[in-house]
Amino acid sequence: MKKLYIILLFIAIGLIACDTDQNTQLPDEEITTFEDLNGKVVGTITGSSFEIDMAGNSNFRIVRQPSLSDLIASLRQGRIDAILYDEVCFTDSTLRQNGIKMAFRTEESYPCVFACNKSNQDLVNKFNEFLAKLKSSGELTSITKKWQEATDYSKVPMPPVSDSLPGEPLVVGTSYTTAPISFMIGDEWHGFEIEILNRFGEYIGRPVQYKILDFAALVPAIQSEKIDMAGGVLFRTSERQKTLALTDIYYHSHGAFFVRDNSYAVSTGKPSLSDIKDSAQNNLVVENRWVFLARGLKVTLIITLLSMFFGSILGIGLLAMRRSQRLWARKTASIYSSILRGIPMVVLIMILFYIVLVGFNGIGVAVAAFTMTFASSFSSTMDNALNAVGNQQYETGEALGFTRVQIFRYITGPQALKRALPQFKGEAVSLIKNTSVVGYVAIQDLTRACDMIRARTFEAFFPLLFITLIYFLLAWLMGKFLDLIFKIAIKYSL
Amino acid sequence: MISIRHLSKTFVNPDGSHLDVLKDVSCEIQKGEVIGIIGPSGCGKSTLLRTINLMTRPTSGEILFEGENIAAKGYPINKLRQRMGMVFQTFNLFEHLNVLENVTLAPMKLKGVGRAEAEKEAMTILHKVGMDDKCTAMPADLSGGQKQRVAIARCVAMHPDIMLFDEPLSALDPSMVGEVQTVIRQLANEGMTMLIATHKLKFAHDMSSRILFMKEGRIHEEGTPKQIFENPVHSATKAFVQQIYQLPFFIETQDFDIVEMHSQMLRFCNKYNIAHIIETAQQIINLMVLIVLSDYRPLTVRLSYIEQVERVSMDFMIKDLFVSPIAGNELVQSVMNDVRVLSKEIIEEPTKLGFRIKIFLN
Repeated sequence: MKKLYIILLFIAIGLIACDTDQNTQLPDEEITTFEDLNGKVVGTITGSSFEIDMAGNSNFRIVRQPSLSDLIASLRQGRIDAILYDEVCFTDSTLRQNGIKMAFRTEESYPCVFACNKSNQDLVNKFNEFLAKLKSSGELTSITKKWQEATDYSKVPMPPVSDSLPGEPLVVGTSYTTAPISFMIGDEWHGFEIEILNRFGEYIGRPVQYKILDFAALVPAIQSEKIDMAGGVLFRTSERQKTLALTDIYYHSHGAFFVRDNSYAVSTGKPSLSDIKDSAQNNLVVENRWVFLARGLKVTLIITLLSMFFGSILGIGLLAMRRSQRLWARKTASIYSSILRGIPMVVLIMILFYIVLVGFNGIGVAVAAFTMTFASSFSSTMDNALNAVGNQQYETGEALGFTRVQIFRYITGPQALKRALPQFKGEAVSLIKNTSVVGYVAIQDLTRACDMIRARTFEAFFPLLFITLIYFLLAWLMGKFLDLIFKIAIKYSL
Repeated sequence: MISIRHLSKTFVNPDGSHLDVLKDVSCEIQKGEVIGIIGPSGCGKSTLLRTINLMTRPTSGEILFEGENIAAKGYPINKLRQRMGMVFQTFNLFEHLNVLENVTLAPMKLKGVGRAEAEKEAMTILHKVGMDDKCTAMPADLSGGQKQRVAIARCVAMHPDIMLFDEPLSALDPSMVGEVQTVIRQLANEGMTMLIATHKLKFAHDMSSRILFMKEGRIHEEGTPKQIFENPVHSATKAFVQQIYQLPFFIETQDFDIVEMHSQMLRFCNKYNIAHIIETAQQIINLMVLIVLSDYRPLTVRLSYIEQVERVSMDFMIKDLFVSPIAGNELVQSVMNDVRVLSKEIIEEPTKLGFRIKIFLN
């Protein structure tokens, strides 16, 4: 019966996706100048220099999105009329593949630099030294040319990275998971920027580690010293010069407006059923992209299970405080719970990551955050369940000579657990779903893995549907898992 | 075994007012005694019981258990409670455990008895209370009487020195009182020391070796059941133990409403759980009012129920008559024979006001 429901659900989703065909867009008026953009909607990246530069214009409306793949999906579906982005990020093949074309360049060119913490001027000096050499030997020009002229980025040769560099890892944050700047093929990082950074690592004798961060999160990450360096076509601006230590310019980028190219017939991102096989091939098999999902799934599971484990332990402590005879303990527990209830999950994670647990890695921070919230909901659920079990059971245990702890362990606890099971299932499932926000602190969980695939394939439909399916299965398995755990817990409570 | 000295308990209400539930209570409990604690609602009988195993802490006073003051700070209460069983009005079986597990939990976890041994002993005790065939049932599937028998077995399994019963019969259906009463009596016969707080006077009368009558937080009178119920010293005791419930009818003319009378009697009997005598009572009423005393009007009829001895009687009072109305014709005599068969005892007596015929139904 359940299986039938699941199958029906997915057939329904598929039909909705295929039947509401959106290929009925009006043909675009040709956009070739700034004036043509009058009254249009232009998308760009949150926190980028384009956004800041264009904020004053009254010609068109700006919408901000977190990644290029989102922008492209929006453009294809007609939600926006143009993308304002780095010219360098699109080659002819990318454009053709996505059915978009460049309308025109902006007049200004933007100097691209890397950024470090102000206290890390040393690193900046070293990079400048390295860059000067690269320029004088002509290598920088040839690297730039190599990446600009490539038609298939996955075939561009990367210089080998020696794996025996003695120094401490150099942690670089980048928001670009987009070819040709920086992108992943399986385990390996590739791209224009990556090549420069890898060479720099070689030069200073430190292996380079990459972290994917939202563009808007790069600056705070440097300031909290979560990363040593930030890249990803970062422009030199006067504000950034004030707050960060910037390197010399390694590249001049031009902004450009990109619009739909109607001469190519490209699907709107909602493929027909026959396309699904191709999509699966493209999104999962090519370049072993399923590895992202497998790894993301592992991270999601690790965070969920560890948080539940530690959360239950901390939750029992909180529960003891809630039911303590001491007023201060009850007050502390209730203040803790009401504070946590009031903080959005994303905000809590960012506070921990950038302010409180500065020395921790992303997964550690995520586990800490989810442990805190799970403990809070665990303790309140159990508290309510214990109240529902009632005082008489407690009193009877007391009259037989059991201690408070023994009464909880043998009498009221198992009964409360039974009552609380349905609510626990709900909380565990929402825990799984909530882990999808950990991408904010540079963790590649399942959702972020999906983003990475979308950044390479620029497809929205298949990867999203696929992780929906995975999350759904995870939630279902979690229910079964908890049933089992509770059965065992109640059985062995005697 | 236990001596209670100058025990007081004051509850402080949230609004700051005080409620003195126990006022300077002193008494001695000897090994093997069965003490019934009776008294009106709110007299403190439950509180007294709960203070003895310190479920309620006394405000002042001492409780000496084998010479030690258990009310003193720092006394190991849990160890003490293991030696005092408590049976509750609402049974309070552990809902997540079956009958056998309910009985074995405390011996296994508190006394470290092995599972096999604990189960063997539990089965013996369950057999005694007649619940061994239900040992795998869950509490939710048991009747009230069965639950209370398991609750008693659960206490007995700890081999307590004393058992405290807090209204053990009050939550039971009338039809289930008997089975629980039998189990408690059996325990008494085996020499278990027991304290029973109850408002079932008959039960206290039949079961106890000594009765404490409590009123307004004090032990008002104590003595053997015979003393308390038959020759109470204090008028308050007398008023309480000789509670008589009455249903009077005043018949002035021949055309009174006999059907209404019957239905009132039925309601009365249901109210006091004496429905089993209703048929006899109605037959006697019919014979007496319609035949034997048909010529005597006005006539006062009174149905009385004395709770502590569970006696039901009927009075027929004829005003200003000083000779027996029965000594008359043959019809009356033969009907009176029928009445004698139906009843237990008939007393005829002239009083200052008139002639009274008292018929005891049981």
